[in-house]
Amino acid sequence: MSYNRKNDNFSVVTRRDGTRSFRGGHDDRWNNHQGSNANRGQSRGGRGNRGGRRGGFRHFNAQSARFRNRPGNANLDEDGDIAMSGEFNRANNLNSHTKSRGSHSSFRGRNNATRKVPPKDAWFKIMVPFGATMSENELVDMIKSNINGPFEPIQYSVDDRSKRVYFFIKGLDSADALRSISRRITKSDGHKLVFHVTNTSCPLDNTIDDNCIHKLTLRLSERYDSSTQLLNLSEFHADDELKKDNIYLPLNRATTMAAITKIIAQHTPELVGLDVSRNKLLSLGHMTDLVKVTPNVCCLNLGNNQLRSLDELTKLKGWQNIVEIILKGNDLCQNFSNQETYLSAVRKTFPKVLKLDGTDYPPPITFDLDNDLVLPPTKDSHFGNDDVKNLVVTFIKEYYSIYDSDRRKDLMPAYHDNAQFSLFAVKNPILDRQASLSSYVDDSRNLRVIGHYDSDKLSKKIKTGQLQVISCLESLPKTTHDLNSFKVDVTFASPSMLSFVLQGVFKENETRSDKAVFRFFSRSFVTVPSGPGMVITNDLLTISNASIAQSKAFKVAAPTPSSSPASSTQSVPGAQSSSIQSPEQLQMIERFMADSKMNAAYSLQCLQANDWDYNKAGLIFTDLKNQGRIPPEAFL
Amino acid sequence: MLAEDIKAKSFQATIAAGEFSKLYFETFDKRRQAIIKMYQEKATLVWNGHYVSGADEIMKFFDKLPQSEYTVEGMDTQPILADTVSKGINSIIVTVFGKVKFKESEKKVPESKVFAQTFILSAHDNKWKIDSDNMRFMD
Repeated sequence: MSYNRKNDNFSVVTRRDGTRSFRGGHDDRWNNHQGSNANRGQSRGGRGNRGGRRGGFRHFNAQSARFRNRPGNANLDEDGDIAMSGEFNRANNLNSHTKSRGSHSSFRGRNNATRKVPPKDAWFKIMVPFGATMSENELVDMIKSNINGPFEPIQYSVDDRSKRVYFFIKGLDSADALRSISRRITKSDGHKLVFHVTNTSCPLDNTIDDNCIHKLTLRLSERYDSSTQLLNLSEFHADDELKKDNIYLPLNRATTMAAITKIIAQHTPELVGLDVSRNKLLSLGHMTDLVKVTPNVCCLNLGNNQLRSLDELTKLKGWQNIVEIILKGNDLCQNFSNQETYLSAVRKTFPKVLKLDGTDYPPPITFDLDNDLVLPPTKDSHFGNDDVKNLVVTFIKEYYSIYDSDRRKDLMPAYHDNAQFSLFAVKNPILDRQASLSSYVDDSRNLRVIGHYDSDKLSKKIKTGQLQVISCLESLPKTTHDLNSFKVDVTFASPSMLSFVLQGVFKENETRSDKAVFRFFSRSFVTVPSGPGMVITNDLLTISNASIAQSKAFKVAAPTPSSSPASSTQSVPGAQSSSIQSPEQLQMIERFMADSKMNAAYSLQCLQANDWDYNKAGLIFTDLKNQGRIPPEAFL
Repeated sequence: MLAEDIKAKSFQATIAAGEFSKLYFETFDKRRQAIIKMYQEKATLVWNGHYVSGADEIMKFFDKLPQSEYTVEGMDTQPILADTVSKGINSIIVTVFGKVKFKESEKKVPESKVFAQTFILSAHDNKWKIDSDNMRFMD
């Protein structure tokens, strides 16, 4: 899984002061035992983001990066990437000081401060409404065939929601050319192609290159205090260290926040305190993703920004644990005539606030209605103790290595002579479209469907005794189980019995369509001790369809070769055929068991070896028995 | 246990399980404080990985859960071999599958979750009581 960090991943190694705590890959919480599922829950919100599209990021070494970024080196870079961003950053630095971007809030990025004709080599940002209805190639070709001169779009991007296409072009001539053809070309869908052209000072606004990311990560780790779990991003645009490298990453820019969010998600999602004061923040919309990845934040400093209304705060509502907040120095504070209304307005968004702008307040007086009870977070497998855990995990691993093989018959020794097995298959009640469960219908014993009184039908569908159980298991579709998806709960452990419930996802090996079929299952086992291990007395299987997320997460661990088929007892020596026994054969085995007093496995073996010739099998058996060549464990 | 014996016991189990599931989820959804009577004193609960032991503690745990709405889509049951759970007492195992909504907040529309639950019940003085209860969301 993409979020499953490998050991060679990023770590900030230079511990100058010894306090840095950005984690690398060596984190034991992730290396959980098989059968547990710690990873899964953690993946929410982070998948895809953490994949590390920037290859260099994962193997970042602080020293080499520093070396690469010596001024002389950057300019030597042949592809021009670093040199370009260097210039760009410098340019922005100037902008921020001379034009005070922040105060022209509604015109951000448009450079309206100067209404002069832009210079010949200015950059322009182009927005094409509904440009996403065409592919990039189609659109570019269409433009090229309609204008004279070169057309070189940069950073072509598509906003899937609004269907808009964005790109940048350089040069006034190109911009004018595009303006001239706006609303003049008809697209294949009959609509006119429209270009919105705006002069822009920062053509590379959307990218923060690898180098910047490296620096940024390093700076974040230096600004993070692991003992208090507080990240100080105050006055980030004026960060001295980043300035030295000509890096300008103001927090009020969405790309900066996105990059920071990604880094935090990967290294310090446990963050509890965040200081984003003095960052000229006008809006908090670009912080919503950060809220999702840092659920523990309880102290927030938004002081001395340019927030005009408390409504902005609702975008951070996900931080429900906030007890301390600083808002002073924002325009919004002037909206309140007294402290009481100010506090209660803040508490509308963050009800747990006890400290506002440095002043302590008593908790609010509320009504004691249990309206807002919250479900406790789901925990991992429950085993009770390590002995039980070892026993159960070994059992499950071995059971499923056989279950997923072509020889489910070898599971016979794992079942008690009087074992019962039944299953029911039912559609996933919250999934819209799902695969048919018809291959299980014949055996499905859903009391909701059959009713509780049709005893003939009910008893037919409950498989009793090793032979019936195995025969039924053999007839079920062949499977591959994802052991990583398993959650195990030991529900009852006593000297005379051990029961546990297993949940997980499996894939059916053969499907009618070319689409893989993923099933969710829950399986309850009751076992009794037998020798060093245990045998199953009750086995109840529930099969449904896996959720979309579960299907996506399906991952099969490398197969672990298993030497013994079941933990508890020996494998059946020499059982070969994997065919399913017919009812006649089952009857024959039962008769043979009664006559020979051998157990089911040996009876089956003897009959198979003699091609189901009952009399011949009987003769051979008597012969062997008289010679004393049948092991004692063969008998009931 | 002979095959015939299993057959008889499994019929008894299906009757018990049918009544049980109806009663259990109705009580849980509408009169949760009464659910404690369905657990035997030393019953255990494993609820989404949270382990709780003893009927009183289980009740305290349930008290903290938001209002629920269970819908059972499927269930099955088997008798457990004699003397396995405890000597001389009849026990059955019941599996349930369905969906459930927990109303966490007045403002939020509760989302449905798929759940699988396994009960082990034993007959004490002609009353079925829960020995063990295991519930997990499928997620």
